[in-house]
Amino acid sequence: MIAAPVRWSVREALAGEREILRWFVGARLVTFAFFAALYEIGPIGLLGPARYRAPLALLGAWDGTWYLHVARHGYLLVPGHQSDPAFFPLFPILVRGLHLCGLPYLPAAALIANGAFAVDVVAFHRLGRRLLPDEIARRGAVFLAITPIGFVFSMAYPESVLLGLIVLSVLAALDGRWLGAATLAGLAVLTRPEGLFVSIPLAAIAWRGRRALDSGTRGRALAAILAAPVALLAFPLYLQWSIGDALAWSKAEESWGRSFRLDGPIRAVEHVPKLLEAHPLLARDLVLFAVYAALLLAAFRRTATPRSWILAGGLILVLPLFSGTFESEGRFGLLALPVYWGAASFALSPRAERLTRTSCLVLLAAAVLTIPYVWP
Amino acid sequence: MLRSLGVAAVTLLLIGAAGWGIQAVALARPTASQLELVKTLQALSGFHGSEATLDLDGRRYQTLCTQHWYPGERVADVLVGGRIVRQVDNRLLGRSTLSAGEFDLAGCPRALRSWLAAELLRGASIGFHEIKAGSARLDEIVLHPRTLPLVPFVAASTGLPVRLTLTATHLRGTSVLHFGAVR
Repeated sequence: MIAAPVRWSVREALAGEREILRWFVGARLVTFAFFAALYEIGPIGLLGPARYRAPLALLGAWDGTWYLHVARHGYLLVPGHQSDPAFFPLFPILVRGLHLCGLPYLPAAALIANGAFAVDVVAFHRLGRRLLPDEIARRGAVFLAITPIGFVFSMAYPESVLLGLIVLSVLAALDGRWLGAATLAGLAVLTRPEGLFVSIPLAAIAWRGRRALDSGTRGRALAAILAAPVALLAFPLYLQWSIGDALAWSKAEESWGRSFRLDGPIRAVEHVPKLLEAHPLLARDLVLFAVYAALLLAAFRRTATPRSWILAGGLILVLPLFSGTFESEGRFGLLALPVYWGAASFALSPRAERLTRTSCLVLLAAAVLTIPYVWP
Repeated sequence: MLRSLGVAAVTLLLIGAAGWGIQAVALARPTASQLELVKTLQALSGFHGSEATLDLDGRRYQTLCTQHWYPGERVADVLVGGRIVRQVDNRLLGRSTLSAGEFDLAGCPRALRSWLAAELLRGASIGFHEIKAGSARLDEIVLHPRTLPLVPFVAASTGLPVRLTLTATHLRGTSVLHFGAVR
């Protein structure tokens, strides 16, 4: 279902998004309050004192360290060691850009991540309204704003930027702005490899509207569909030019314990007992994988979510398993957007709705408190 | 049809070029010295042991380093003067100043790699200074600041360390390394 284009103006956007923005602000307040609490508690768990030298420093923990490393120093593949070509370039580029305007690296990263997430929830609501009934679109956007692993959207991680690029790319395509869609899709895949899957809804939109497109527009639509795979090639080509190794990304992934193979999902399942023995809190990723899968199924069965979105969401969930582990599924699954529509498909009484949303905020707070012990 | 394909091809070319260009313009590139050090790390990764002749504290020793896995632990043993100096997961057991010096100068490949990689990753400034040693050309790796009082010299042809100099306050020494025999 493609509705009429929605006009974009700040005033109009804010007027229609009050409830969503309220929950967005509430969830960010909870997130920052519990980051502040961790800072007050001081060094615990696996993170050393360096992560507690400033109130914001914890926002740059875990992978954030590596994204900031790329922003500062660029890429370098260190053989046999964890190194930064495992991390895609767009987020560090944005951070470096803001740093050149005078902001230190970590505040720049946090500003970009949180600013992008504010845009994400509004744009996701807009996207939902183009595809689904208003009620599901609105409640889906609220669930995105308060999702328990959503603390990642406030850290020096690229997920919020990627989510925004995916949603804005598809919105541009729905409005027939295929060059914009192509550009945003290209940027999405330079943010994280999951950006590749934006091609699926873009292809579905182009296919549905193919008869109404003139030859030039068809060419631009085709470019939008292929923009992500083509832009993806720009990363290894850059690595070849910069450090002389086009395969640096996959080599670096191996040093992080991830190697993409066809038997990856089997290895991931076999690896579960060892994983839980070493890091019991990573049970979180197993549980969230199951929850995301169930909500994706709910979106498929209970809403009119286009099949292309379900397919893209499913691939976003399943693809990381081919690297042989469930680690970080909780974070990767945040980008499977139909999951939020699936959550919104369950009609609840106002009281149950309030209780559910409050529970999400409680889980969000608890999830922040796990940061010193386990990586997102 | 042809027009559609032409428009798509041009757009994709521009997107690919812009994707590459934005990285080339915005991100820092490693220096030649950093890439040289990566070559040294790569060269070291092919070895699981080393032999060395040490001049330490006024005495000369022959050492043999062997690396192996115990379940869940990386172990490096240095045989020196009938004793074994052992490192387990980057911790030297029974650490004394002399045994630490012996271990450092023995040039165990993994320990050397770990140290040099850590220096690279924490952004130490790295320089390669060419020196002549007889007919061979060596490069002295100058790290600043450095976390170990150790100066490696690598063969310009292979990138492999061939000599180490220890410059600790109370202990000075040098070693000549061979990696060929212990793979």
